[in-house]
Amino acid sequence: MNEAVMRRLRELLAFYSGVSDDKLSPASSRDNTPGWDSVANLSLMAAVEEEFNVTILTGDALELKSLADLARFVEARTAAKASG
Amino acid sequence: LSALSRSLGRLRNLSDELRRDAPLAERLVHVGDRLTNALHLAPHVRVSRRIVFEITAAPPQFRGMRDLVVRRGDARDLRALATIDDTDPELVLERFARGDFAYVGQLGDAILCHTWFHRGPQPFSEDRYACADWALDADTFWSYNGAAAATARSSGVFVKLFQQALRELFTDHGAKRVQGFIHDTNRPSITLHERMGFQRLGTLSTVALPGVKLLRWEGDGITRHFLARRDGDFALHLPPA
Repeated sequence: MNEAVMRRLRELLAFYSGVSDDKLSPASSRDNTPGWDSVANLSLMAAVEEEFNVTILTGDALELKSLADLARFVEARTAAKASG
Repeated sequence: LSALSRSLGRLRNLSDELRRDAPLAERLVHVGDRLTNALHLAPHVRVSRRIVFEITAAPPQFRGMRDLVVRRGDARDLRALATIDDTDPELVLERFARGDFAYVGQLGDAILCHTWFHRGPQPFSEDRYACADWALDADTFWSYNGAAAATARSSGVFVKLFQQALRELFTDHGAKRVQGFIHDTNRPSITLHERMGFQRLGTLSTVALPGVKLLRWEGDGITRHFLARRDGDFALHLPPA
């Protein structure tokens, strides 16, 4: 997993959830992170789209439940763009 | 043994509730609510505490999930509207018959979430038995019964739906205000409404007994008490004068 991507995702989630950055890890998910609620998630998805220049469709957003999921998604999309 | 264990668990919950850092009236309402459920007295006896919210301008626009289709629902959506939160289809049809607005969030063929609004001046009376009828002005909408499918909960699809529906009420349907209540234990919904720009008008505590109900309104430094027939058409204007 790309460390820079994960670090930036943690910063974004910390901003929108109100949870301290150092309490977040790849295992942080909507189920185990109290401030990662529906409003935070919608804002986070929009911020990730802008930050990494990727498109997150609603169907994707339903499946992206943890920081690790998000990092894998961002890496896959950016790699696909780079190769194509 | 399992029944004894469940009873002990409930007693512990009640004890925790009583010790919680909250005003005494609030703790008593919660204990009353749990007791009536534990003793299987509901719906004959209902004890509840609701926070009443109001918004008077369109909420901010959240970005993201641009492919979620938000539209007015109609009778063709009956099955989804009834299934998402297990609502009686007859009730859904009644809502359409009286002109209530349903909004749905749709992805492909699947409806992921819905939310309902009732327009004044006809009072909203679905909460009569548990609480009260809600008196509404002609340009006031009552927000109720929002829900998302289990697979879409906490994803943000409901936020997107609710925000777009509210914006449409203010821009296209002449809404001056939208009001609604949330049970005070429903923390996620309270947070959602506050972030959407809703303001708290006050708190309504209700003790509904067979035949009669007692309501206590607290808000903006004012406390009011009302005693009404349980199934009577007593309509409460918010905030009460």
